[in-house]
Amino acid sequence: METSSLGKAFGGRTVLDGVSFGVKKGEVFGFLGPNGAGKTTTLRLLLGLLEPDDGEALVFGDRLADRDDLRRRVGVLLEGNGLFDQLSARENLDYYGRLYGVPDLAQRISDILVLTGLEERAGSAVGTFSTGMKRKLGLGRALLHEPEILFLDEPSSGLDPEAQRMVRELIIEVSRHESVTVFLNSHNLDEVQRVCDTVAILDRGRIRAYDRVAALVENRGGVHFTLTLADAGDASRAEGILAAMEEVRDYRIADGVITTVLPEGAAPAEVLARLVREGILIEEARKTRRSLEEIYLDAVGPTEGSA
Amino acid sequence: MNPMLTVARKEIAQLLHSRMSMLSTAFLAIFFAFTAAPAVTMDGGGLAILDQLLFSMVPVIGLFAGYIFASQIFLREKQQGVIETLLCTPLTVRQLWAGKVLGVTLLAWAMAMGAAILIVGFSRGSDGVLLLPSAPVIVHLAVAVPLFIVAGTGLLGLAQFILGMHQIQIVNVAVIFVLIFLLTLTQQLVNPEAGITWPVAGASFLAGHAALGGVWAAGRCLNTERIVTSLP
Repeated sequence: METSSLGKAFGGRTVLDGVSFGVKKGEVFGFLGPNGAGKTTTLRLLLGLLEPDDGEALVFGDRLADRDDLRRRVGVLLEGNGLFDQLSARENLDYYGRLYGVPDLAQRISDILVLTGLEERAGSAVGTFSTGMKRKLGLGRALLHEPEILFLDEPSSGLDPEAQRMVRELIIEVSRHESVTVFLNSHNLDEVQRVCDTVAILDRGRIRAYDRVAALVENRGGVHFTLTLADAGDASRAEGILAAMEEVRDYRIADGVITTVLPEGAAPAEVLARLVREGILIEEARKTRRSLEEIYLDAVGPTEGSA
Repeated sequence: MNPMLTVARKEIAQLLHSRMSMLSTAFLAIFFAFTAAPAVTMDGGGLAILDQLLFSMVPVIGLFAGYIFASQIFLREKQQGVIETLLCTPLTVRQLWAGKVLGVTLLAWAMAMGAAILIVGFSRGSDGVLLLPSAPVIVHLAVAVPLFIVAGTGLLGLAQFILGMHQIQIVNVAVIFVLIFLLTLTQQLVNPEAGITWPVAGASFLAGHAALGGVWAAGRCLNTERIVTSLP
């Protein structure tokens, strides 16, 4: 799956501008961004629901809009779950199973009902389900035809923590063991950090950050380093030493704990050694990772607090 | 199974589960059958009036039922966003539309035929004997009426797919007024001197075909992007 220089405007307003990324087979790709950033538009372009004004959005190397056969290999869970309230869970799955031509459908439906924990309510009208149950059934529906690529839009919204865990485990399971590629559109930064291999952060129609999650939290914005002084009284002396070191920036000292950010490639050990040489006793030194939330907030700017 | 038939089957199942739609359509069929039937006896026209009522009123009842069902099938799925998921399936947008129209039509036609049976059941000749419609009218009900319902629900479904919610509201109100006007008109225009002959039934069949052809051609303007960008 890949997009290249993807652009889209509605009524003269640019929604996407030069969006490019690629997702490899079996990868879990997290797509983040504030409301109105263009995430849904990107998803719709990939799914062939919209036509790009510029660039391309390709899945299996082709446009889904033109290839009914390729859409058979894609599973989709959008905001609305795609379920019919008047029909039972089993009838909903049966309908989609027939549309996708699922072999041995009755058995597959039973498997999905067990997987989602809804076998007891298989005959109940979906309209009587809670939001969480609908979401689970929607996810089961998306997996029913064993897709090679799964597009998930906020899969855990409306779910309790236990069900959220189930969704996370399911995503990891299908990705790792069945090599399903997952495109995860989510506001849940913790979820993205836990399950995604790669992440792109979109803001105002442009990609602001795009890398493997591990690389982003490891490198972006430098090395985060926390030192706990053995004697809090050494704080002012330590401050003087740090201020004189060119490679140290953004340091903060509070209650005998120094928090600092070093440029990428800088060695925290040198800072530590310098302080020790100057007679500062260090009780604990810790290299810390930035959370995806911090990276996200950096990427979209301080005013865009919500993903 | 053909994907269109799969969609049609699901729409019928869904409508049968929808108590509100079924009850309101059944009420409509019973109400108009009950109010129209006395005209057969009172006007003394007997069979000629029965034929005319069946010929003109039953298609309009079918269209009315189609209108109620189409709102349930096309509009509701759009309001709930289900249509977006359906557009991601291997179905083409035209197959989806046609399958929905087929499902709605079969049920609306069944309702219209139920109304026809009620009209016949409630009608009596001047001597109190049960009247049966003439052969051209029976053929008209069996062959031409479904064509009119397909064309009507097809056009309505098309509009509900591609128009924005505000525009759909305007169309829906306009359709209700037109249908009520047509139902009233059919009762006013009965003429004991006129009859439904084979040429009249044939002309109706051709008109139904022409309407269907027109709607099928209009279906070319179905466009996935138009549907998605008009979602509420």
